[in-house]
Amino acid sequence: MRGADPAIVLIPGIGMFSYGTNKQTARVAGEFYLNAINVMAGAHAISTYQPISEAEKFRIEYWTLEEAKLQRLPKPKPLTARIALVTGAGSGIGRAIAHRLAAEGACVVIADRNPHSAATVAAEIGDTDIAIPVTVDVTDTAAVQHAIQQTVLAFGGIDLIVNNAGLSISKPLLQTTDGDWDLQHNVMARGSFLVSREAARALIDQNMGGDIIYITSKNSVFAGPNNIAYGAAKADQAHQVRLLAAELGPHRIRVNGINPDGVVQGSGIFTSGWGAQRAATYGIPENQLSAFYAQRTLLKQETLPEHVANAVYALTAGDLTHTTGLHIPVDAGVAAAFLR
Amino acid sequence: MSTVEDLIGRSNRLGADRGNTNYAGGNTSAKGAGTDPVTGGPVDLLWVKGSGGDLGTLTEAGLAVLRLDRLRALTGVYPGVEREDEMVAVFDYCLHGRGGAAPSIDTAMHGLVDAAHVDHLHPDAGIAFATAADGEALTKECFGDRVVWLPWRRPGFQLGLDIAAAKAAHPRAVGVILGGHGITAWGNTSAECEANSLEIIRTAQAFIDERGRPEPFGPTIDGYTPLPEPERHARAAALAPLLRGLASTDRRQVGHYTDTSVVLDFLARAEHPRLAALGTSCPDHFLRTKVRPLVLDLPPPPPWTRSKNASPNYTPSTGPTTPPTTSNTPPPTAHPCGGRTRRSC
Repeated sequence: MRGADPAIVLIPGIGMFSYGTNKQTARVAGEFYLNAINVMAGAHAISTYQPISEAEKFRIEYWTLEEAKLQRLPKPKPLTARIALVTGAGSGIGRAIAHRLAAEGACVVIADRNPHSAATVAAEIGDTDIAIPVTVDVTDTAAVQHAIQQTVLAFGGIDLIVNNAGLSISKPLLQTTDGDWDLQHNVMARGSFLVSREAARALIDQNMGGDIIYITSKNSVFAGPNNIAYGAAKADQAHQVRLLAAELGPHRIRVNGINPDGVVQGSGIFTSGWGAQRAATYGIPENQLSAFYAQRTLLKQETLPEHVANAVYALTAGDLTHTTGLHIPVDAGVAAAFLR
Repeated sequence: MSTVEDLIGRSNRLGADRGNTNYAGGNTSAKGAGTDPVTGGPVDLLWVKGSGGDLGTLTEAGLAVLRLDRLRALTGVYPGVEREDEMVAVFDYCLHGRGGAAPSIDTAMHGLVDAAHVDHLHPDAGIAFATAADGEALTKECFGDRVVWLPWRRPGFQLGLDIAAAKAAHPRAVGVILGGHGITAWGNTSAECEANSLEIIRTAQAFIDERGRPEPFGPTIDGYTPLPEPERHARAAALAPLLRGLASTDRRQVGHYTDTSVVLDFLARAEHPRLAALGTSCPDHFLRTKVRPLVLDLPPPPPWTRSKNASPNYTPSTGPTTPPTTSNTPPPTAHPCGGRTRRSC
């Protein structure tokens, strides 16, 4: 038997919600009810509306031939019917995460402070039933609330949040300005907090559990020079993972982190001169920076945005349902960053 | 143009207009001559839209192809209406080669009706007649003997036989109104069939426009008229997670929100609770919509209240509230409304 839960919900003054296992199916269900309204208008204009009997409707709804038709539909993907919001998804790691989630069946909101980047990534995915762009500066409370609102209006809810938006300004302590500290803490520590808080309201109302993933960093654990602001902000984010895992567990919301390092290719952080600076420090051409970092790792492999996306998938696709408060390094092996 | 090209063109044109049929609803067919590769000689074939897919984007790959002689011979083995579902599996033994789409339940209708071209559609105007309590009398009044009324019967082999018999008994008819379901039209050429389909739909709509009473859903009700758009969207966003949780009891769902004027107007009017309880209008819809919607009857503004973790946006009349409480507060439960919740299921 199918359950008693509705596929169409009507709210006077507000509108109609329709449901399905993906956005297109949900929308078509809504269109069918628009057809029903038009039919009722016509029938009631010339007569009274009298559809087929309840018994006949039951025979149709549970018709074995229609069941056979449903069986012929393609099997659902691992993230079918998940609704994701990825911040900083207009480039680099966030973009790779968005692509992977979409490919695995999720609906994805491509959130970025740069509307052009967000639109470009959404267009790469190429289907507004799967991915839409949203402009949001995560330091702005109203903008974050609006982004959550846009997500739930577009896809009917939200259940997978990736706090990825971030930037890196690494300088010696004495050269780290108030602005350097404030900017990185506002975007990463405060921004993640705001997104988590506003998304949690919806997750708790939904009562369907969910996942919050923080893209933190090796530098949230590893201590090196010239990194006070970035490292401290990342450590803040890393402890948010543990704090929220503890607090949101009763709602079946898992909160986990990923600690990337050395993600040079395709990364937003290493562009705009930062990569050139690091390469100059090591005395190598900039295009060899990624390979240089790889040589310093245990596995001697370059870490790409896709590897971080793989870890997000592993955490959310259903095999790690009993894991919360974890940090997964995606760095080709850095012993100094092993967690104890 | 070939038989198949004409059929695809007619299907795409009819399917492109949502006034003619709903998304993925209805099916079309054409009969014509093909070549039997086994004998090298001619063979009469039926091309018919297969199971699934939308008429508006139909391509040749979406057609089932059957041998007309084999399909018509099924009347000899038909075991009667109690076992009519078994006939669908037998269509596989009538296929002309392996390349086509899976035949749909409506294949019998297309094969058995004695006309070269057949359209089966779910037009809103046609189904208005089909679900009218006085549908049979109104069909006669509107169409004379040009369109015949058939009472509801679940789609299948027996309905196909019934439609074929209705055509034979009414030589001047161009189609039927299928009670509780939709319409079927036919023609000797593709153009004639398409014209007949459109004639039935347009005549039905004109009859409703001219003869229908105004405000069929009754007068508007105080407090049920649409909220201004920003407030409407804010409330929809606040409700969405609660509703998704409700709709996902069996299985995780995603949702689509619409505030199109057709819906808002329906919900603003006196008849909507009674009509919503009567459920949707075409059997094609039930699998996607279930038989009836839930009407969430919320009290009019000022807004319903939520418990402790209310966002600053939740109480529009008073502005931002105090920040959420500490982590020592037990997880709150949100109540979707302070007033009546009427489940129309």
